[in-house]
Amino acid sequence: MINTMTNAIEIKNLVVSFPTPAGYSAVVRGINLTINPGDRVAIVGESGSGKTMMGLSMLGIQPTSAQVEGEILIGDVNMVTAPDVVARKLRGNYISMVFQEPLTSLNPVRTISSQLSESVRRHNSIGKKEAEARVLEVLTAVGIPAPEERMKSYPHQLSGGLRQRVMIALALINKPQLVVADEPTTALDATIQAQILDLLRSGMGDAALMLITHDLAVAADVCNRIVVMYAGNIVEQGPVSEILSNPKHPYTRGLLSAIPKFDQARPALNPIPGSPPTISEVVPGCRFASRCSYADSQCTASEPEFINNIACFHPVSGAVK
Amino acid sequence: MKAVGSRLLQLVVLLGTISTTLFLLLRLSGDPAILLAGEGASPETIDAIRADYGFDKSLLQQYLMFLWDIVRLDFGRSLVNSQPALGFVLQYLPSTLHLTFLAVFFNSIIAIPAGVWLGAKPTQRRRKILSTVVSVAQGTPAYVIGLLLIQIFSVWLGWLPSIAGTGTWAWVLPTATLSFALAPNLIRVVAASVEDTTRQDYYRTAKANGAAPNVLLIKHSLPNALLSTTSLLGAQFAFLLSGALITEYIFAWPGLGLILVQSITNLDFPTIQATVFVVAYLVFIVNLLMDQVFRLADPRLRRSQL
Amino acid sequence: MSQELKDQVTPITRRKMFQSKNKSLLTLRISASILGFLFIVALFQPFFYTADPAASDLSLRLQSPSLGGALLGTDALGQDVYSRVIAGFRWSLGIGTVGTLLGCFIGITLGVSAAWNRKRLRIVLSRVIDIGISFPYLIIAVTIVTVVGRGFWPLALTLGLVCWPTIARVVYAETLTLREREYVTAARLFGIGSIRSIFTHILPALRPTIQVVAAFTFAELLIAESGLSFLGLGAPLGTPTWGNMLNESRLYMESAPWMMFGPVTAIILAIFAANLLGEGLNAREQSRSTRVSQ
Repeated sequence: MINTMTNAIEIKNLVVSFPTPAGYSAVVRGINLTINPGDRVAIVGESGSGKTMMGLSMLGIQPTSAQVEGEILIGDVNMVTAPDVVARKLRGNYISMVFQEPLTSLNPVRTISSQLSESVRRHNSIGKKEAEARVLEVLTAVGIPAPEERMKSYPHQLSGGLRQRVMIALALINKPQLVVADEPTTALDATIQAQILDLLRSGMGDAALMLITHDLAVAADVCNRIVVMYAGNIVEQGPVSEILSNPKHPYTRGLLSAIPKFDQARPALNPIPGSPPTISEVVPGCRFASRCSYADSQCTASEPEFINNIACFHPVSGAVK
Repeated sequence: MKAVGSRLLQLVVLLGTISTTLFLLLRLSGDPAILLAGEGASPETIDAIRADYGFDKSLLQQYLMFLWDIVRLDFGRSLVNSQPALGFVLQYLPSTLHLTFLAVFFNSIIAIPAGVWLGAKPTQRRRKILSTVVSVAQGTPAYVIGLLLIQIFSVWLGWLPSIAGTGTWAWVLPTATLSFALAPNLIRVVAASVEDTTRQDYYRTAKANGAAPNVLLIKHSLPNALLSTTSLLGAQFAFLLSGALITEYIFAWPGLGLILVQSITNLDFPTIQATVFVVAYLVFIVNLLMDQVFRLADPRLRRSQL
Repeated sequence: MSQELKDQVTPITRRKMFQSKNKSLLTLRISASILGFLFIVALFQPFFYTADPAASDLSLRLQSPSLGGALLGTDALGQDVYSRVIAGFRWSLGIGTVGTLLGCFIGITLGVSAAWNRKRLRIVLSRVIDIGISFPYLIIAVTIVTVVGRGFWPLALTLGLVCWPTIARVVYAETLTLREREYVTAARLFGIGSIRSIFTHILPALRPTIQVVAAFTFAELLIAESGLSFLGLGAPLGTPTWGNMLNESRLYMESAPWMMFGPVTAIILAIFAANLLGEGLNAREQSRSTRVSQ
C-alpha cells in the first residue's frame, strides 16, 4: 500500500483544538513538519506546548473530544480524514508510539508475549509460533536479558527500565517507518534513562524517530534535528549543531540557558520568566512576546510567520553564553 | 494462606460481636426465661428453662457457658418444633442456595452485557438510559417490585404462580424480583469499569498498535473491567445468601430468609441465632472464594500470595 | 481523525456548559423541595388528614377510591388509606432522620479515627469497617429489634447502629486523601494538635462528601424501615406505616388492589427524592472540583 514513500510523514497545517467554555481552543496551531525516512527529529517544548497532542494525532489516537484539522500524510493516506479501518492498518505497523509511563501503558492482566504477538498477528498473517519467534527476536534486539523467560512475565514483574524496553519492542515489532516516542525516559531513574536513550539512538533499525521531550539535552543526545515548539506553534527548527551553537529564537536561547552547565564553577540556572499563555487565551501577536526581552510593539501587534526555519521578528545570532 | 487467616479472624470477630450483643440484649431486656419460653408459658416451664439454661447463675458464668455452647455449634433446640436449631436451619439452606444461584445467573446475563454496551461507547443517549434505569430501580424497594410482579403476572394475567412449590415455574417471579433489585447496581458498576478502561494508558497503547474496536473491547477492556466487577458480584452473592429476607417472605420461598422471619415472629431465639450464624458463615465462605477468584484472575495478586 | 471519532465530538459552547451546571442545580432544587414538602407533611400531618387515621368503621371496609369518600379507598378495618399514608410520613421520615444522624455520627467517628491514626488503631478500625461492610446489616437489625422491641425509637436507633459501615468507608477513604493535603500536613508540622486539625481542617472539608452519603443513607433507611415493617418486624402491628399498610394489602391483592397504591406511591416518592438529592449534591460537588482543577 505504501511502498513508494519519500517521506515517513508529512504534516500540513495541523490544528488540534478542544472544546472549552469559550468555544474551541487550539493546542496545536497550524504546524507544518516533514520527517524523512530514517530521520531522528526531536520535538522540544514545555508542557502544554502541544507536542504530545501533535504526536497522538499523528496516529489518530487523540482524545475523542479533540478536533483535528489539516493533513497528516503517511504515503497517500491522510490520517486526519482516513476512516478508522484504514488508519488502524497503519497504526503499530507504519507508525507506532512509545509512551511515557511504561507500567500503565501495558495491559496489567496479560503477558508481555501475548501483548506483543497480538500486534504482530494483527498486521501480518502469520501463525502463533512465527509470531512468538518474532517477539523473541525483537525482545532480544532491544536488549532484554533472558527474553524467553521475560516473555511469559506480566508487566508488573519487570523493572521500569525493562518495561520501557518492552514498550519500544512493541513499537518496533512490525518494523515501522516512524516511531513517535513521547517523553520515553521521564518516568525512569537517571541511570536507566541513559540506557533507554542509547537504545533510541542506535536500536531503531530503519525507523525514523520523532522524540517528544522537554529536555534539550536529551534531544541533542539522541536526534539530529531539533524542532522547538512554543504554545502550539513551531518557533524554530534546524540541525542539532545549528540549534545548539547558534540558536536564533529568543525562546530557544532561553531554553538553552536554562540547562545547568556543570563545566562552570558556579552553575547558573536562568529560567525563562513567566509562563506560556493558556490555550483559551487570545494573544494578538507573538505568543512568546510577554516573556521575551527582545519584544517590541511589532511583536504584540502581529504574529510572526514561520520563514527560514524560524518564527520571530527579531532573530538573535551567536551562541548562548 | 494469610488471606484465609485474616478472613477467619474477621469471621470470629463478627460472630463474637453478634453473639455477645445478642447475649447482652437478651439478658438486659427482662427475664430471658420468659422470652425463651414464649408467651403464655406456665411458671413451671419458665422455671425449667431457667434451670436448663443456667439463668440462675452469674452473668459472667452464663456468658462463658453461652460462648462454649456456640463454639460447640450447639444453639439449643428450636422452641417451635424442638429440633436442634442448627440442623433445623440447615434444612432450609439448599432452597436459598437454589434461589441465589438462579438470581446471580440471571442478574449476570442481563446486567453484564447491558453494562458493557453502555460503557463501551458512552454517548449522551446511552448515559441517559443508564441514569434513568438506575434511578428508577434504586428508588423501588424489592417488595414493591415483588408485589407488582405478583399483581401483574399472577393476579391479572394468571400466567405464573406466586407461591413457592406450586408448580414448575414458581422460581420465575422470585428470581425476577431479585434480579430487578440487583441488576441496576451491577449495570452501573460494569458500565463505569468498562468506561474507565477506555481511559487507561494500556487501552491507548493497544489503539496505537492498530487494535480494532471489538479487539479493544474484548481483549483489553473486558478482562480488566470484569476484574473490578468481581467484588460487587461477591457482595451481591453474600446479600442473596443472607436469604433475601423480603423476597423469600413475599413468595413464601422456604429459605433462610423465611425461616429467620418466622423464627423472629415466634421469638424462637435458638433458631434466630443459628440462622444468623449460618448466614455469617456463608458470607465468610463467599468472601474467601472471591479472594481466590481475584487471585487467579489478577496476575498482580498472584505474586503476593507466594 | 476517523469519521467515527468525529461523530463523537460534540461541540460544547459556553451555553451548554452553563446548562449542564444549571441542570445539576435544578436537580438539587427539585429534590430538596420535594423532600422539604414531605417533611412539612410529616410535621403538620393533622392539616392533611381527611379522616382520623385510627378511626375504623367496619361498615366501610375495603371501599374503592372515590373523590367524595375515601380518597385512596379504605382498608380491611374501614380505615381511611389516604390519611394513614399521611400518618406514615412522620414515622418513616422520622426513623430515617434519626437513623441517618446516628449512622453518620458513628461512621464519621470511626472513619476519621481510622484514617487519622497511622498505627495499630487504623488496622483495627479499618478491619472493623471491612467486617461491617461484608455483612448484610438488615439481618443484624431484625435480630436486635426482636430483642429490644418494636417502637419508633428502638427501630430508629437500631437502624442507626447498623447502617454506619458504608458511611465509615467513604469517610475513611476521603480522610486519607485529605490528610495528605498540604495544608493539613503543614498544620501538623506547625504542631497543631490532632483534634484541632480534625475539627478545623478535616470535618469542614468532609462536609460535601458526608452530605452525599447521608442523603443516600437516608433513602436506604427508608427502604430498610418499610421493609422491616412489611415483614411484620418493624412497626408494631396496626401502626399506620407504609410497610405495615403494604403488608396488610397483600391479603387483598385480588379484591382490593388499590390498597397498595397509596403506600407504594409515598415510599417511592420519598426514596426517589432522597436519591435525587444525593445525586444532585454529588454532581454539584464534582462540578466544583473540576472547576478548581482547571
